[in-house]
Amino acid sequence: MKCSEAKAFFSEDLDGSLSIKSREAMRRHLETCPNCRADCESLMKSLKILKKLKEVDAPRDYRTAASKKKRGKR
Amino acid sequence: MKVESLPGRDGGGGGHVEETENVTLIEKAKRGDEEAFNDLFEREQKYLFNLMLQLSGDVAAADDLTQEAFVRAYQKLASFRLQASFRTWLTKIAINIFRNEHRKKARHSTLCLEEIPVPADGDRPEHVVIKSELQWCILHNLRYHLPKKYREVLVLRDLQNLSYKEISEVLGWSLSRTKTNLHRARGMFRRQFINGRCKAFTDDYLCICEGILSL
Repeated sequence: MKCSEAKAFFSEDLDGSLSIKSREAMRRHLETCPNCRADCESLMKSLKILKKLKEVDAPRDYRTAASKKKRGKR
Repeated sequence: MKVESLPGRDGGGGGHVEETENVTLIEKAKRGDEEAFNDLFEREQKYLFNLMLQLSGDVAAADDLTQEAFVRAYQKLASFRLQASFRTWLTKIAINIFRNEHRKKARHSTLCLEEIPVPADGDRPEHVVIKSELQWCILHNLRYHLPKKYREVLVLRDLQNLSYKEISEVLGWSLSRTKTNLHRARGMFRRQFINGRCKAFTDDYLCICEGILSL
């Protein structure tokens, strides 16, 4: 397996959409390739950071604005 | 190496589990039932505002984009044929508005730390500041260091938890293109955090953003 393929499979595996066969092939590659392993570990780490972005409350109620604007156009 | 699954997040105000109920509300709203319209849109307000904030990186722009998306959805609701989930349909409308009305290239100096909303969670003041910087740093990276198409796919998948299929529908891509672009987007985001200006990227997720804060 090529390194680029292993990294693409790793990304897919994070979403749980990789087949068992592909996952096994990827794992075998990662066991023998320290560069890919390091890349995948840092990918996982940076995505965990991305997910630290918190959701915030909407600053106002958009329903009224939308329906008012529509009524105004009638 | 053990591949962990990534932590999920709350999808916002509503979502897929309520889709059956949404269908009833959509039918009512199409017949002019204002209350049904309000219920339907109330569930998506928080989701849509956050999506627009994550894509635009700008609170004022997110506010305008969210309002415009709701107005457009209100106007188009009669033509919605339930071929996709309501959220997917609304997201597609919002993304098109974002693409058309947010074309001006963002300038580096316009994102201000004070503008980034951080939910209060009772932490000590210094932790709130660090969390605020981290929020800022993530939005900064999304906004300035990821081309739009990569930002869109990354936000839809990793922040809003849309499936590959939903993302394909929203962005008009094939499934394989969606996977490829998501993989590239994640790689770009990773490189930016590790090799970019956010150098102090540590295990406990503190992000000092050397250089960036003084821009």
